[in-house]
Amino acid sequence: MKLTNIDRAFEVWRKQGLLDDQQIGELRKSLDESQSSLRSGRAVTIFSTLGAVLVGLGVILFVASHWETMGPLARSFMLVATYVATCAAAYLTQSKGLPLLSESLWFLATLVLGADIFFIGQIFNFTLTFWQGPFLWCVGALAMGYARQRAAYGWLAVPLALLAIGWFGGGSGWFTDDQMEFLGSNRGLLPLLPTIGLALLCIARLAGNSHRFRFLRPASAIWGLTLIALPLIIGTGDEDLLQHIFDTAFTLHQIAILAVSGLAVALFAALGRPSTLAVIAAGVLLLVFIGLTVPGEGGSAVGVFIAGHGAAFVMYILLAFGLAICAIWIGLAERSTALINAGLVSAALIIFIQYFSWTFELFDRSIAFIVGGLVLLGVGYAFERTRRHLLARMEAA
Amino acid sequence: MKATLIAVAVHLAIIVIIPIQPLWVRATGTTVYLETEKMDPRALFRGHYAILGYQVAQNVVPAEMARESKETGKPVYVTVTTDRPGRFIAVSLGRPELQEGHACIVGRVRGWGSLNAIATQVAPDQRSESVDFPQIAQYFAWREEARRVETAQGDDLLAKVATSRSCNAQLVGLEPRN
Repeated sequence: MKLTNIDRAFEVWRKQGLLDDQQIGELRKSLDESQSSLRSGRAVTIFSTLGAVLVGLGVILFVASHWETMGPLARSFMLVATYVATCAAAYLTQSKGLPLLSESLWFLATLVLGADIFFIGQIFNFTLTFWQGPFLWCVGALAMGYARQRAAYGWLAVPLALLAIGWFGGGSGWFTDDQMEFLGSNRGLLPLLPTIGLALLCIARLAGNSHRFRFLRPASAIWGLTLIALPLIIGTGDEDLLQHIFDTAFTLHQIAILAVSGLAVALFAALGRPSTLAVIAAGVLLLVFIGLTVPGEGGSAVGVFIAGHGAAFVMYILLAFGLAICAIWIGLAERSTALINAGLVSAALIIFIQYFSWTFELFDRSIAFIVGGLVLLGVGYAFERTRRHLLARMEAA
Repeated sequence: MKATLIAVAVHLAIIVIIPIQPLWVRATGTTVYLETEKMDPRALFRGHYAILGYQVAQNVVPAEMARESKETGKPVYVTVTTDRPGRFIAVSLGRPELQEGHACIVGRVRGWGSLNAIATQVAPDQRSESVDFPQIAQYFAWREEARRVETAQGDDLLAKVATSRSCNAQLVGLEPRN
């Protein structure tokens, strides 16, 4: 039978005379009970949350299926009644000593709020085009997150905030494409994604230090890392990509976003109690990300230069890879598992992209697939081994 | 529990606040009737709708004004008559001083020129542009009704719109011309 670390620890302490067999038995029993309770608590949370989401969807579908036959007042009453009923159920389950179910219902109330916002807009053909709806829903999610202190509200609020910022001041009310334009236009969020990601990372740290805003930390950190890594990694795919990704019109909207991001970094440095290394890294990254957006002829100046110089593109790839390694390094210093994982995944993705960019030109296709498979297996092995080693080192520290 | 009750109050306030301004415009605004134009149907969060373009706003923005609007992000203001259907009077980058029998609607320059101008190969810097009115661009309807509306759009389908003196607009309904 395979021995666990706990088995080994008990054995060492028994040999050292720190614990006898009876004490070890009691400790094992206590551990088993707490594990079982933890598993059952998680199961309740998972089932309750899924149940809440299903009920929410059911209510929305029920309302939608009877929508046509109801007048505007009846529809409005239905929406408010659904919200009030959900809150009442959450309150009752909380007072009956069912905290996990109650939390799921409070979350459902916040989902119903979102449905209400857009349904009200629909009933009266109201504006809500486009940023107001996500913004109001985000405010509601933040308010309930502040009250309930659950990370789920952060996972709802952060993407809604990004959507509201992206849609602010734009949109003509036209096509679905128009609603997604902010992710593809030089007047939207696309060139600013790494800067916004850095601001989110700083917010995650500040939120983590705050008693009341800790619920925002996981979502802010993961979204922040994703927004930083994604455009930079995609940019390593081809030398022409960077000039388009970071092509920026510098509208007032974009300048305001840059200013707020800079403020977030400053607050992080002043109030986040970061290590000196983290402050320097945040400052340098802010300058690099803003530097990437400086305009040139036909797009971002840096991107245009890289597109015209093969050596500069290689330097960029190395720099992106170096950033991934830095993320791992800072993750170790800051004891951040998310940062270590993000650094490792980014480094692995850059290797994959480079493999597929180069080998199909240089090798016979069959060899390219074989070598590609081996590279994937090798990177997977190295990734898993390095990750475990780093996390173990962090725990030991 | 106090914090949760405050959060619930915030939620209810949001639900109540949303309709106030648009209902105010509906109740107190000047009514105009605009000929509609065929558009496209779908909203990300809110399902089916008929997107409404307005004939009174087609090819009305001079190229220079359109360029300034796009560069500065400023909206444009279209002044129309309160006749049935309304007629185009003027377009401006600032809010107009309204005369008796006039109303205004805030909008955005469409951005890619009119289809006519593109089809007739007018140089981009010479093209007059059309205006979209985001506040009254979406008519939400059941799928079948949205299809009927889309089929009927044009000279024969008028949009009844309430407008405020500050050029905000709310779509009251759609009705046949006669």
